[in-house]
Amino acid sequence: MLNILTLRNVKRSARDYLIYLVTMTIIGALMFAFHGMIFSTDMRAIYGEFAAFAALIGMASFFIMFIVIWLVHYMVNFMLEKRSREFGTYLLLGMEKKQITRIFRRENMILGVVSMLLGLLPGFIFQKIFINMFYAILDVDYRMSLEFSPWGVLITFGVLVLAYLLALVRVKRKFKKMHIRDFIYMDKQNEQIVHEKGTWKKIFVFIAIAYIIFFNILVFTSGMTLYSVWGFIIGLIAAIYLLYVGLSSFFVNYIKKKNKVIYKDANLFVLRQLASKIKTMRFTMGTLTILFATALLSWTVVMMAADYQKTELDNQIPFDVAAFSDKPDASFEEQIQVTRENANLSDFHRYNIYENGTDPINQFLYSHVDGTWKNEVFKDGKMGSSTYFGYDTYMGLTDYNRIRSMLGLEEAVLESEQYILHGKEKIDDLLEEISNTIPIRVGIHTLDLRTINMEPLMQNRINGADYMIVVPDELLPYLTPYYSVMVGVLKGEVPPDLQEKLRGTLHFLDESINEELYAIEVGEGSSQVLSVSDNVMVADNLRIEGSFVIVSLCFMLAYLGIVFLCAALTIMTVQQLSDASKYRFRYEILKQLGMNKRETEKVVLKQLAVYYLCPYIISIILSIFIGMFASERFVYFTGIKAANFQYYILALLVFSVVYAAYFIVSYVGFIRNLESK
Amino acid sequence: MMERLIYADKVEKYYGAKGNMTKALNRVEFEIGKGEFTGIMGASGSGKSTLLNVLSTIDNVTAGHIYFESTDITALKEEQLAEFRKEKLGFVFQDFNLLDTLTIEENITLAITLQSKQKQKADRRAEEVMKQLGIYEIRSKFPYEVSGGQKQRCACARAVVNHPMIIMADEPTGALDSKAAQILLDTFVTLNEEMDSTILMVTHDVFSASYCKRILFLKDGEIFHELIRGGKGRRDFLNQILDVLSLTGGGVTNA
Repeated sequence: MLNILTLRNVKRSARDYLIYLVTMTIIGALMFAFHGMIFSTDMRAIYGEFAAFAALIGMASFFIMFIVIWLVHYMVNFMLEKRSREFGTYLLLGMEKKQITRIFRRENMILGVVSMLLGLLPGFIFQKIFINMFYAILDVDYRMSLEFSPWGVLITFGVLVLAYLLALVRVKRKFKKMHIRDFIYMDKQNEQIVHEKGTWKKIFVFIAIAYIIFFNILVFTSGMTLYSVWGFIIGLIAAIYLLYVGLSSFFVNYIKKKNKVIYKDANLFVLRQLASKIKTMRFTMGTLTILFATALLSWTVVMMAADYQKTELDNQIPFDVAAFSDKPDASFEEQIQVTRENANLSDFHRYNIYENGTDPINQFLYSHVDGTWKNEVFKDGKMGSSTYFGYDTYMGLTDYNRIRSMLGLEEAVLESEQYILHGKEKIDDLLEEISNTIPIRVGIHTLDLRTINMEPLMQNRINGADYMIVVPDELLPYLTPYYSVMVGVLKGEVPPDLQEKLRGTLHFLDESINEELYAIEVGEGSSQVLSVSDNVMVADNLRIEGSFVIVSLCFMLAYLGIVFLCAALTIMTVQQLSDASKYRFRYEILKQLGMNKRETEKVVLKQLAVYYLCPYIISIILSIFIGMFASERFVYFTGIKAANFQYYILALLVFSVVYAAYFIVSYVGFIRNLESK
Repeated sequence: MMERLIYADKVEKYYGAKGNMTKALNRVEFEIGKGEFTGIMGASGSGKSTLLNVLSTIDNVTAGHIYFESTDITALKEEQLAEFRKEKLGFVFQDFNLLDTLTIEENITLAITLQSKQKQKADRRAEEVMKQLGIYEIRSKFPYEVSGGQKQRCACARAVVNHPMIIMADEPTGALDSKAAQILLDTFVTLNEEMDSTILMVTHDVFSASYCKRILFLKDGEIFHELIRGGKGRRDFLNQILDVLSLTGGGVTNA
């Protein structure tokens, strides 16, 4: 009998809280999809170092577990309140609290399991779509496979069951603390409606808005330091809560002022409803707003990062394949052979980088560039890599022109006693300063600057670190070969593991201290945001490797963002729908006052629209300025020509679609609840 | 003389904190005998629902004792109370309190199975009661599919099905039309006379009260009058009740 009761209750809950079930199904489906991706061989085939993706998704799932706990906990309490009378009846019939707790828990677990099962198929489809997207973004061909991973399903079940158990842990205590009288009269107690009495709190609205404007001005004028920014952000969060505290009074005040707007249609009713709703929900709404804004911003940032990645990677790895050796006489035979076995090496050039036993430029850079480091690891006469080489780095003009031609760059010319300074664009002012202040001497000659070049040329150890001095060939005998380099051009398809195979031919790693050690002091250059410095580099592989992390990050944040959005919107929607049945009489009265069906629907629409628009608009206002500013800085720094708003708009679009879906469900459900008896 | 079933010994119930105390029940003392059909009447705020709540263990007393036969229920622990409710009490509420996910029959069966009776016995007992109360035909319908009167009779069936010591009814006719109310009250009389159930009914409706055999009148948390029907007809009793009420309505406070 109790089983029948439990199952019937589940059925009813599924109907009453359909939106909750749907949300849990969506969350379940997303989790299945992402966990499935972790175990997918298709995903592993893209890129060998797959752990990054698994780690990111694992992290996201960890957070999502808390979101699920929050949502389930909220819903459980909500149902507990709505069904208190029913639980009271159980008690009257002589059921023990233990029994009721068990029934209630079991109901929720069944509801959870049902949503998980419903999520299986969509999850599988999502997984295929996501993998397809992954392949498309990384520019790799993908053939759809129907592979299915039971591990992904198991992990999802595990995480969700754990979340449910944790969310339900306190139910027993709740039941225990409650007296039968509370159950029977709880719904009556809740009928009390909170009204904002005084309107002085409306001042909070103005204070909050003033602070938000102040904050945005600070952002635009870059008036915050790295440390003070945290204080300002805490202030911003406080301002948002304050805004909601004040908003209720603000509306009441507006009504009391008898502005002519309130005399139009049922605006008076709508505003009153809203004022009392905001008053009871202000903390929840404040939290929702902050988290919406955060989600929007993080999406924007990630999309920017993805774009930056794409451009920057092409800059950093202009050659299809490159290799480094700390010996001046390396032939690269082994590397060339491995490359030839695996790909079509159509052209290559091997050459030396030279030194003249001095390091004034490197010293200058160490003292002028932020974030440089010097490695202190020494072992058996070998050492680890630093930001710059032990000596300043030189190159012959013929080699220089040879590799320039590989990249399709025009030939450089030098007269005797001239040099070219080739460096990274990011330190262009330092290059200028070097050419003005540091004399370049080779043998007995002091060289004049011919020009400064800044095309991307792999200056993260291959062609020097950050810079390179190009001298006429006839001066090379005055210099000492420092280390060897090979760069090449690949035609056709490049296997995803070429990089790994080439790395296998090199033996720099000292396993006892887990550090790569070299016979010379190797420089990696000062690129920080995204640095690709290695002893062998296969452009295609590295591009995917680099993009892979960023694309994974995109997926993870989108995953987190959408789950959060759905959970938050579910709470807003469930609130509204239960209000619809609880306060049905209010709309009955409106009808008795002469409103027809269409007019009532209009009132509902207006009421819901304002309710939903509050957190929506406030979070957009909050994020738009910061997002715009970030976009603008980003374009300024990276030189990537994209419309300022592009990233933000895209994120906003996703956000709005999800938002709109819940709004529509809420509206339709509201009207249906009003009409049902 | 009837055997004593309930004895309320100077029961007090206060609400609120110091300074703003409401005395809902003030040293209420009375007895209810086995097989009695007792009504409690009073204006709203007189404490009649509070009295029913403390008698039915839904609420606890501030002071005083309530004895069911020899058991002092004010001294019972929560788990013992649950057991007590399950075995000794039957409830009928104004708004029925039926479980909307169960059919009429299942609502009754659940009450039996909670006492862990065997399935066959439970079915037979449920059938028997449903037939007695005239809801057998609608047994497989859900509460929302039947009328208020039928719902209330289902609640009655659920209340009597375990042969409780007493049935507590809180405004049982409050949500019914006059025809359905009359049928329900006839049901109560049947339960009382033919099945020997003891019934305690709270009501503010004179017509309902006239079905009782004895009425306690409550005012400001105290019993201020008692009527016993004795051999009188229902109509005479009704008039008598009206007389008492008219007295309290204007008379007592002005006197």
